[in-house]
Amino acid sequence: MGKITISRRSFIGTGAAAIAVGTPRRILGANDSITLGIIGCGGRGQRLLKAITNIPAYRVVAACDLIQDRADTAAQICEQYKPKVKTYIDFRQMLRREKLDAVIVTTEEANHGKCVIPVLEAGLHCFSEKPMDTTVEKVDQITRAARKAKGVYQIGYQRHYVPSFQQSIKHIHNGGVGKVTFLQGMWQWAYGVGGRYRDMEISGCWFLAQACHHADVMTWVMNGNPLRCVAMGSRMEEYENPPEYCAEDHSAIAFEFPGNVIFSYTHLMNCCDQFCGEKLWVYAEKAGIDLIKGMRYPRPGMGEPERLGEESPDWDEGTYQELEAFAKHIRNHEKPLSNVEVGRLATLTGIMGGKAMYNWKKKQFEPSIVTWDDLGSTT
Amino acid sequence: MTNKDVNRRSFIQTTSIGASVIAAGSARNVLGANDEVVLGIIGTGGRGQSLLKRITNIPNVRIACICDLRENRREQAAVICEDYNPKPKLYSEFRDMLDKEKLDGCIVATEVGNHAHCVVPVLETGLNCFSEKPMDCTVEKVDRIVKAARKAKGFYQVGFQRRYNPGFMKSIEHIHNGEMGKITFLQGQWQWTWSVGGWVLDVDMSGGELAEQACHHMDVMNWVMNNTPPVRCAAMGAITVPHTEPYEQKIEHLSEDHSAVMFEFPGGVTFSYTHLFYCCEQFCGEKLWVYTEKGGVDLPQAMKYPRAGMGDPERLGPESPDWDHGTYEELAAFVDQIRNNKKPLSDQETGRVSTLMSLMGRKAMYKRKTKSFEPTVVTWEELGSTT
Repeated sequence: MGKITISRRSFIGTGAAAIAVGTPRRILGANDSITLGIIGCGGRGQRLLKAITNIPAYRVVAACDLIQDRADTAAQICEQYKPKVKTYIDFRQMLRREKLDAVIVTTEEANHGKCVIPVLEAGLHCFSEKPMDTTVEKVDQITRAARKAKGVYQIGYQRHYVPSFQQSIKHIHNGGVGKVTFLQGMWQWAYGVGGRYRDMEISGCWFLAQACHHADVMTWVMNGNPLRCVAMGSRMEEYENPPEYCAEDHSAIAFEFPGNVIFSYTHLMNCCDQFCGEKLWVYAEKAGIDLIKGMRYPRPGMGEPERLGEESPDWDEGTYQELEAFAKHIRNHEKPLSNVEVGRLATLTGIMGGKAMYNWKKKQFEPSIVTWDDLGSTT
Repeated sequence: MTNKDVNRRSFIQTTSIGASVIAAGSARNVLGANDEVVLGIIGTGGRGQSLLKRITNIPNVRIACICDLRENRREQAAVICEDYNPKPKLYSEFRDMLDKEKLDGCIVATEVGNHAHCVVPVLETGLNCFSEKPMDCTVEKVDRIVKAARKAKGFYQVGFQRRYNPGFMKSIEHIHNGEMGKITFLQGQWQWTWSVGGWVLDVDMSGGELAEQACHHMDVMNWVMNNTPPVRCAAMGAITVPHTEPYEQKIEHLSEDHSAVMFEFPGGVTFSYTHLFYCCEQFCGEKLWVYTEKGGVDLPQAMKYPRAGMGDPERLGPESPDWDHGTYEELAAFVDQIRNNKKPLSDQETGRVSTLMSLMGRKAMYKRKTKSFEPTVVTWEELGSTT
């Protein structure tokens, strides 16, 4: 186990107890830029910062990471700002010292709650990457903190900010396709599960860490939570030093939503290019909807195919838009489209999939039926 | 329930008596290479007639007799076979037919739930038997056929026609030769625009759509996995379109029209499958993908796609023109096997695992006691097969 991983793991262990009691949020003037700090400057954090530096509403003032190099890289991405971005290793120190309006949390999944809750309790706006966190207990803690927070809490389910998803799902919700009968999704990749994602104590599991985007889309389509889930997972790639609780690289999951609507999903790694891609199909009484393509396909004799929105160019479409929207939500005191309730549904659905495929006691993949109530969420 | 359905069901119920009063053998002698192969058929509904049309194109074969409970079906079959000389004799009682006719083989294309009822007597008579898939719709009846077939003088062939489809044969041979490395995942889909109706709706007659239709794909993945049964299965099923016809409302256990099924094979290989009806055309089709260490194989397309940096796509065999491809070939093979004393590629051992996989899927998605779709995890042992 590398040094970095030890830090990450011990970071999780110290929990949410020692919270800094906040830098109060200021009232923003119409022309004031939103001062931003970021916690977690790895790949995804850097990716978000690159988008943020193109959005005039923001001024990044501080970057925090357990690894100094990463914080420095973040500062370099933000070199346009004056004064220069300050770097921190301890996020509590950053929260204490900096005058921030908002904080971006892009740590590992299992560290989200640990950072998000203090940020919200400090009265700051918070954008956190998905999923909310990796356990039901921590999701509940964040949910409670967010429900009573003064600031905006937005979760990085960017498809909520992709126009074609919005238009297609609005069409479904408006009754444009009749009753939904089945949901189908696939996410296949040429690469393998890397780095920290292999460690389920950090990532939850690979389905939760990555494919929760699709759990989000389908809970959005269904306007609610699944009742039951059953799943099969496996790890096919050999690792030199696998973690104690090692994540799946292949999974097949079925969720049952009210009204016997089934959502069948596969999430596979190390595939040939021809089998790769993202597929999200909604089957309904009158037509099928391809959410990625933004297309409506009527059943035979029920009309012609119709474009509902622009095709999504790639899986990451919506990231710029969600960050742009975060600034707008802050300014207008709006509830984000990807808010705590939306994120809770998607994250718990992701956790449900992981729980249905893995037996933590035996440390092995084993399918079981998990009900929504079995999750034991108290929110 | 119409008369025809009453007949079909009471036909099943007489099964055990039926099997005990079998005619003791009217198999013909060893055939010469140029001898005409003489066949009978039991069950001449849609599929039976479709088989007959193909058989009439196979040289040196004669349909000598036709059996169906319904007169119009017998007559439709007789029209298809009108070029044979002498003309086929028509029967409503298959035991009577087996008693009176001298045959080399018999085709069984009844409803699924009547397969064992006919197949077991055919085999016990010493005839070669071609039966449509799946073998039957209960574990107990599958076991009876397996036991009868294992000790039969003739051979037993099950109508899983993909076993005779060159594209599938080449592709699966390539996988079995180890050219693709370890299998990591199996994925299948079969989506249709049409609706679920007729006798297939009645699970006690058909086993449900997963058994009656999608057993073809269970068979393909069973073949890929070398006839090693899955360890476990989990499934969800649903009826999305209500059945309101009077005869439909009398059916006790209705077939699913949507299902999502997962099987776990030894080594953690998962087979994920969906089988859906009432779909838009753009979502329809047949997909059977094998994921492996070194790449993927698309079985209906017979294409090999290496993983990035491991080579270029390669055609392994001819693409399947449609889902029914292999039916002529399997029937021609049936005749050839009779004439040349060969064994079928799709026999009771492969058919057993494929059929039981389908029944496993249905069991995992449906609770008979409460007549409700309720997912469970079912192990292979829980099926209780005695073969």
